[in-house]
Amino acid sequence: MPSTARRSTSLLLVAASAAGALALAACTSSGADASGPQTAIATTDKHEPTTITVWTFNHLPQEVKAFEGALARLHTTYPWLTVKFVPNKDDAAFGKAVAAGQAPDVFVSPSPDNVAKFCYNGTVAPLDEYLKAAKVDVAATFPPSALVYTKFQDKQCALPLLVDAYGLFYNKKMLADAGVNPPKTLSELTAAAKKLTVKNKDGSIKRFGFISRSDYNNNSALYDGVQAGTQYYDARGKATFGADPRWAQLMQWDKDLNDWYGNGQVSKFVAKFQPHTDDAKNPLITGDVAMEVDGEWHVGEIADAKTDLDYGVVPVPVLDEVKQTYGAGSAVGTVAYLPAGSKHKQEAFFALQQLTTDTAFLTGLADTVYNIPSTFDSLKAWDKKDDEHWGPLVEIFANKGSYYKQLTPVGSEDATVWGTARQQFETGHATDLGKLLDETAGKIDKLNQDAVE
Amino acid sequence: MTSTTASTTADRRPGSSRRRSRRGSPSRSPWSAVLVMVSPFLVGLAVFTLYPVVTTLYYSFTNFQLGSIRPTEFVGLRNYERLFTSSDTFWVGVRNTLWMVLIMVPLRTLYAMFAAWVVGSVRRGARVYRTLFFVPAIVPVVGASLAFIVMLSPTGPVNALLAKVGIEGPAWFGDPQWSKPSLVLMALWACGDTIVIFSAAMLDVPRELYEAADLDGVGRWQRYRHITLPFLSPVILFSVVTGMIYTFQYFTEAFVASGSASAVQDSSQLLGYPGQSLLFYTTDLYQQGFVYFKTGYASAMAWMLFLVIFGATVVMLRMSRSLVHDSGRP
Repeated sequence: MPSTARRSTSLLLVAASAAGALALAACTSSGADASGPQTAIATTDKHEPTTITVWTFNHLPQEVKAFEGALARLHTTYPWLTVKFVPNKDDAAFGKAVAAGQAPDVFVSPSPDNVAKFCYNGTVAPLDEYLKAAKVDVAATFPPSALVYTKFQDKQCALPLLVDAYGLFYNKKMLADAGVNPPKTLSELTAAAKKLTVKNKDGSIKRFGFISRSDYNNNSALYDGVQAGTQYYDARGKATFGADPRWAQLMQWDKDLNDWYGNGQVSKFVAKFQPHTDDAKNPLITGDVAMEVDGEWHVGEIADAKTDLDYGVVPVPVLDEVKQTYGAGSAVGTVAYLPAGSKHKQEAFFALQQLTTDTAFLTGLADTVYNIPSTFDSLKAWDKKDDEHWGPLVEIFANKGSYYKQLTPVGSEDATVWGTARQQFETGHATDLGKLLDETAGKIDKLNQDAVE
Repeated sequence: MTSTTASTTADRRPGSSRRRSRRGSPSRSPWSAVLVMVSPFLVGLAVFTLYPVVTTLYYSFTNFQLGSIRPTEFVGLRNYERLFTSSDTFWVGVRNTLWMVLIMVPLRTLYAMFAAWVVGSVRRGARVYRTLFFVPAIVPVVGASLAFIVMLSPTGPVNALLAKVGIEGPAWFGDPQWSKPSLVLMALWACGDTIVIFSAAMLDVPRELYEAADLDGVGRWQRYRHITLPFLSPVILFSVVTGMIYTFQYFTEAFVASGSASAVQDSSQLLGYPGQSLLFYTTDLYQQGFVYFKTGYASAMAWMLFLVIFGATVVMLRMSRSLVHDSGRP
């Protein structure tokens, strides 16, 4: 009897070990084929019926409907191609699926934060050969700012699918009443903010001119580097936070304005309005702030709020030292990948190409999710491009000086470290700005070094 | 001798062996049945517990990244070294988690003891009070967290009530100084399960001891200190140990509170908001594993957490030997 029990236990252990070994092999396998095709599927080609899976982060009913409509049109036009559409999938779900050998054929991610990581790790296939075979000239198809965040080390790792551009939203009446023009430089922004701020009798602030704190709403776009005319990394790939004085000037500008209001007053404002930046209680809508930095989707949100707010949109002010760059801004967007583990890469690329370049789909989806279309053709065809509010944001995106932070295999970790440093300085937990910026650069350099070891 | 040999040979024949097996090992059959019946559990244990545990140990010594198809390399103790030497968030998570362990666990235990005593002391409606105290414990954690976020909003009902008595309420989950205390308030509200255990333990205290104390004219506090408390000490130990284990792994409430306090989905401020005040050890572990995809590093964090919890539990159980009253001890 004991021998039987031992044998059973041994069998279980052997089975568990075998299962473990198999799973380990699956998790760490490198079976994906990264090589590109010699030819591409042409729109006129006949093709074997194929079903591919498309994952997207989109989950709101209207977004899902827009995708389903576009994919149905794709099937109608190319009956051989059937798409299984799976909404509400994020980068973590994608990573797990890849590890389990169950990668989708196309993955649409909400942000480009992991473009370099996925490309470096071989999680996604570089698209250059596919684009070449399909005769797609990316430079002639997508505006340059959309290519910044879809490339890594000259490899086209993803394609843009709608973009975000950040602008300065302002209350026209408040500025007119105060005799203030929309500011173009950060010192003008400070002067305008002070003039537009209204205090109560007890010294508390009734209305803020502008909140600069970096963790509020979409203010992180102010600190990506574009507004200071700088970049996260220099030509050698080293973090510039300590070496480039413009970072310190940007931080000091932020701290000075914060201190003018009083950190406590700003904290109360942020705590009160932060959860409501996207709804009808947004402080620009309620009149609790005169100016704010936000993305183009805010135009749609203001329309949804059915408010009579009379507002304008202009580019985000820049550091005085680089005022010639005014007009450029932080531009980023949704990206579409071809996973390296896709079992139907040719067909998947065909679908990816259609989705990212189809003008009707891009303009329709942009209208639905309040984003900006991402190709030259779709921008030209988009009826909102001349709108009073959308127009300036389209121009910011199209500006040749607009960009997103450089991408590296650390993903979004460098942005987190930089964000933490900003908050330490803003809240007074760190007072020696030079030392803080040097340390931040050192930490980010170490992360980058670790990421490629 | 011959007969013995013959008998031995006969015993080795298959049929004979089978007969003897049936007669001589009556317990084999039930054991096989037991094994068959528990096999789904054993398979589950192997697949969902043993395999992940062994795998994370293996990963903790590698540079494996979720989703990466680069070859996984053995890196020795490098992941463990990085925890202590080069992480920007590890010590933040450790500090915040220890704060919760040192503040929330004792407060939760004391509050549950007090509430159990109050419920046990009321003459009428004890069941109603017990139910009222217990109900929050069965509310799903995410739902409870969202309810607290609404109640403790800077413009929410709690601050409105405070304003009526002339107190300017804090920003609660929106203020780094108040975010963790807000979670403690939620934990106190939801500790009905511990209250029920303390209530049951209080009912177990022999009545005759109280009667004897009454006859001796012992005061209320002395009664509690010398009779009730010793009988409660095993439950206190249980509450502290399980509370500590739970708090070291504290995640859901902080994750929901942090995400809901900020509507902004920004990579530089998503987890641990406001500031890094709600960045706990497990939140950081999640971030490292599923946001940065550093699976090897996150596995090292998981094993470090396991070792700390295991060590703390052993120390606490050893220390408790002289403090915990055991009425059944010989």
